[in-house]
Amino acid sequence: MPFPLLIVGVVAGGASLAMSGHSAWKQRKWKKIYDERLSEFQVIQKEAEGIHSRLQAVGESLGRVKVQASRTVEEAAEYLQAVAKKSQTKSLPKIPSEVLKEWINLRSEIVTSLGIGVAGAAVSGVTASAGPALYTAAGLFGVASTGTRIASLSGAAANSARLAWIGGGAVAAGGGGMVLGATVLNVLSKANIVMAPIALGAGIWSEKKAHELEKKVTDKVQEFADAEAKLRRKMTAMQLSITRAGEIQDSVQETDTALKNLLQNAETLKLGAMELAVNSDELRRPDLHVAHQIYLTAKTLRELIEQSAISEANRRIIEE
Amino acid sequence: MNPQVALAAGRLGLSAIVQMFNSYQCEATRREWVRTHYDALLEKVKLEQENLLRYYEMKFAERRESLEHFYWLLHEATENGNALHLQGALYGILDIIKTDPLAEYDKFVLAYQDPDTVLEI
Repeated sequence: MPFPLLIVGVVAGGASLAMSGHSAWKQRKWKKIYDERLSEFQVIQKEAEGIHSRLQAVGESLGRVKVQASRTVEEAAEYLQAVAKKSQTKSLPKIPSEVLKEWINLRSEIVTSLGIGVAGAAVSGVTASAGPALYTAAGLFGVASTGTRIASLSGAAANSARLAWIGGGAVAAGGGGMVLGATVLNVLSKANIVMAPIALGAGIWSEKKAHELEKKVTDKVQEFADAEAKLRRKMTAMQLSITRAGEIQDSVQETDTALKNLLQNAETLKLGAMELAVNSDELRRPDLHVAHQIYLTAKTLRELIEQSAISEANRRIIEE
Repeated sequence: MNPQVALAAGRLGLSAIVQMFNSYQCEATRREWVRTHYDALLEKVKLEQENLLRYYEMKFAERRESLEHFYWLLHEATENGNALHLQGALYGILDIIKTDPLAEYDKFVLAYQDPDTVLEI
């Protein structure tokens, strides 16, 4: 074997071996970075799912409280309607016409709005929780599907896809490395100068593969970071909506309790049956006074029931 | 064998090694950039999340305090038949609840992200 040829063979083989070794190291490194980012993202995703479940539970609880309160409001409206009717027909203290009108309006508004609500109490229950439920589907999963790319990467099926995506390159590169080794051996044994550039080409090819993987991982790391940033913003919006829902629920419950107490304390209801009281001649000015308090409380409670726990602005962020 | 051919092959081998080294340098720089850039971005978002939560928690706590006062007044009024207190309590509760602190949350977040905006807290 001519000496210069051996030198060339050794140099080419050494260079390609170094390159393939380096590329394999690079690919392992980038795979590790990718895996780290993926697991970090999965932790955040789990956290977001927990907050989302809490929001859903709070929404459902608020829905139940609202349905219950809407029944009390309806009861109050019936009571007021009866008192108003009695005031018109009997020679009793007159209810001012504007107050009477408001009372009657409350009844008709309840029949209209709560009519739907109570008729569809089930719907109402759902309505309150429908917000979160709706956004569950479109929101969090829509979010994570910010997406679908990330979900597909982080999902269960992702593992094989991920392996296919990331591992494929490495395997291919590893294959290249083996071919390369054989080529180098071939160069050394046969001292064929033609094989030296081929060996180098294989080394460069394996480097190129590693470079492509690096680019892919860099893009994915970027995607993970963007998705995590988005997810974190949604988590904040959800957490705040939970607090807001709690605030509304407490107010509805407290006002509902007050209205129930007022209805219980009303002289007419104390007699046991509302009709009996209204048909009797026992309606006095204090009763009108109580009736007006019932009216104010029922009106407030109805307005509280109508409040939404998730503002439009928050909904936009959550469902984005 | 022609020594010139051998020399050319040797040069080719050396340039491949140099290229590999350069690529290694670029890769290390790029990796470092990706890490620092996105680590910084996420740190910023985490901080933003913490601050927004803290700000709104304080806001909700203030509202909670007022609401508690009105709940107490409401029950006191229903027990004693105090119409004035009842009206005040109902008005107070409704006024607080109708003012949704999150109504313009998206705008607030944007303002928070803008370094030129001065937030009045």
